[in-house]
Amino acid sequence: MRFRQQQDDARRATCRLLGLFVLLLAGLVLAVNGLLIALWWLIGSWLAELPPLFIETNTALVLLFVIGGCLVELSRLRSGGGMHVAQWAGGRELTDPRDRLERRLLNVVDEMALASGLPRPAVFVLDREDAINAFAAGWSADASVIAVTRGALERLTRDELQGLVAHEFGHIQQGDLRLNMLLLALVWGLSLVHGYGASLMAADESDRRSAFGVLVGSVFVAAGSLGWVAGQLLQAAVSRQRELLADACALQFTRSRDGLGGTLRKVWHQVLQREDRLHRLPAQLLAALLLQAPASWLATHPPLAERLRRIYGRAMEPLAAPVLNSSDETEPMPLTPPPSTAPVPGRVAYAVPMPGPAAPPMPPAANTPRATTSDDEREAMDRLSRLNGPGELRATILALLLTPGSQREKRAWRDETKGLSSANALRQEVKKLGPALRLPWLEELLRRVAKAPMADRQALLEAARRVMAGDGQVRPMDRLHWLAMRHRLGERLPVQAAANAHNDMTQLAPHTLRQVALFTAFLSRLIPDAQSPAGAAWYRSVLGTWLKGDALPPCEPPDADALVHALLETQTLPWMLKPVLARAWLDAARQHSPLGRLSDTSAAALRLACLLLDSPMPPELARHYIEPVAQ
Amino acid sequence: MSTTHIVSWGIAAVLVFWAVGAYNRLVRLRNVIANAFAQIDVQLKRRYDLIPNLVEVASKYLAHERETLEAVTAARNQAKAAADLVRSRPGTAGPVSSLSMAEQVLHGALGRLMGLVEAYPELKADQTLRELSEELTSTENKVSFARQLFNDATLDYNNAAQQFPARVLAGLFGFREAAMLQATTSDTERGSLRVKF
Repeated sequence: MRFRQQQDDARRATCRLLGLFVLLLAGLVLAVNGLLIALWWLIGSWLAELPPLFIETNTALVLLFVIGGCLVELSRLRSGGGMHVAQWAGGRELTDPRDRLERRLLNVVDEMALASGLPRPAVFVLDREDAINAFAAGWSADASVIAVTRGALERLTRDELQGLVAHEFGHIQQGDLRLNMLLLALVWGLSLVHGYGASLMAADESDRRSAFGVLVGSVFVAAGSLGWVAGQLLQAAVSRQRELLADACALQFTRSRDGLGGTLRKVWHQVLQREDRLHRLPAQLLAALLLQAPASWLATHPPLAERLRRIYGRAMEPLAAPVLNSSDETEPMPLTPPPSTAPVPGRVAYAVPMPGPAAPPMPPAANTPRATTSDDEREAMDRLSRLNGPGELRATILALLLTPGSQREKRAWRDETKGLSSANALRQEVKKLGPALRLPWLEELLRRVAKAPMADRQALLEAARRVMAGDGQVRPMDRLHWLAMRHRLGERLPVQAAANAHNDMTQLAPHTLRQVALFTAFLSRLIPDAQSPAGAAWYRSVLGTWLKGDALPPCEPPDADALVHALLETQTLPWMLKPVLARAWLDAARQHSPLGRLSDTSAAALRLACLLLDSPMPPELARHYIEPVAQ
Repeated sequence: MSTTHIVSWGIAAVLVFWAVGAYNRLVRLRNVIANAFAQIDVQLKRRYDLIPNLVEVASKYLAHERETLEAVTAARNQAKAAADLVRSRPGTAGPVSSLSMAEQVLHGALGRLMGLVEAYPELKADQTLRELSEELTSTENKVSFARQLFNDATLDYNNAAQQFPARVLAGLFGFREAAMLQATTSDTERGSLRVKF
């Protein structure tokens, strides 16, 4: 890879172009002076001397406009700052990643910050943009931002995303953001000369034009517009060189041409398919900042084919860019010894009965039969998958929350669903659902409601509270349901997960452990079964491994406020500890259940608790449930 | 004051300015190297912290693959011990070579574990494991990028210190040539471990 050579080439080209800018300015001064002198002679006074300070005045005027305008514009551009630009473009700052893709982006940015030796910039995601693109903004490397479209997150592999981010880091490292603003300001300054001429030519209030104004003004308009056009051409040329420089920097940082190369090939494909349009981004204004911008006669970016040719050293083809499903992202694992080709004696036993994903291997301790569905349930699911409109959705969710057999809750539910003719039929369908289906369907329906406006979601939460309190008491299961609903429907609070350094519960702060114990004490009212005396024993066997002797608080279920506090604190566990906690709950619950079979109540409580912690369900628990087929 | 005086003062002033600038530049470049070296250490440590978690998650599904899991844990412990030794006695050849041996063993053991993971769809789909593997990939990348930055910084520093006229200044103030980490541009080292799902 000849990236150092390419970098030097691009830098030299930039210097030449900036030199041309100086020449352009000198040319503008010369042109204005020359034209005005010619005008002076034309008026017929070629014998007379030029007025005193004639050339000096003209020169000063031009320089004042260009340089003064440039400085004013520059201070305006600077005051915005990178954050401003990113927010204006519809970006959302990424501080608390919502999913794996965002986590990956943050990691990749960290990696590139290391590779380039720059401070880590603020990271923004442009949620609504499906095209692959990105930009960097900001005056200096210390206060810069990088914004990446959602499309790039979804359509690029990890290596390609790295190449994309590396390209933006190249811009930051080479000071392109500053250079770009300077050139924008300079072009603006050049346009002022033209503007001054136009104002001289314009008529005054009484609609008269002076001959002097028109003559002198036309000189400024002619010279100014020529200078302005030349300035724009030069700016675009500089910008193209900086793109090549950033490409070469990306190669330097990643030492891989397939990363950025793959990205550009996918962008090329999108361009050919006309899918590269940015919906919210004013691409014209940000053109010079973007990874790729629309081609025009003032193109700020070299053609993609040319960029790819420089990266690979040969012509490349576009590459289709489908949304990658992260699970079937099958990339080569160059250094992983393939497990099946070289069976080692002793490992054959598991290697043979492995026909493929259709038959997942049984976990070692699988004495729970997998849940199955009856005909009634299939009918009910069929109806529930065709819910019509928000009213039916709401009635069904509320029906799923009813405590079986409670007449007063049913009455409260009727009050809430008044005016919906299909409400009762829906409740009958919901009643058919067995315990293996109720929670998965509740979660599925909540996922759908989560897209509704905030006010609707709040109204639903209130209605749920009224229904569940309809019988004058809030059962522990009701409370858990309600917390889970709020977790799914409410605004996500940024949970500050502790640094993921420890992998051991005993290293947690004593306060955190006590709150975990309090939450567990709440669950002990449902596990191993509702109001079972074994709850306290379950509690002790969960926490006994982490809290010894006196440190273990007695099993006293918390009140509502304390419960919410305990939950909030438990949610801040490092994400690697959450499955450990879920596992401890489940294992202890199985110990304390007859024959090691979880009761429906405790399975439901554990599932809701896992949901509240955003922790995956342990497989033995997942076997109790049948997830609805994704629509 | 004659013209010669003015000219010679001017030349002296320019020289002094240049010398100060060049000196500061060399110091800055040398500090970048030190920082890059510290980063390698930080990332290696982070990797040693992550591996037990990976083993913990994998062991839930792979209880009958105890040998592989134990091999990973043992290799990780050895590598960590070797790294500690290097830290306490920097610059000695023995610990460095034992660290690179231990890293190779760890590398192989992790590779085998990842091979196992590939074979278990349930394990592959485990959310925690996927997040962990992302963290591990990222850390592996960071280790190699930190090495790369170290070598790039060393190259910049050496270029700055050895080219004339800064070379004179470097000799005067004792800016010695810095050594690079070996073979970091080779493919095997850069992509040291690929964890992909």
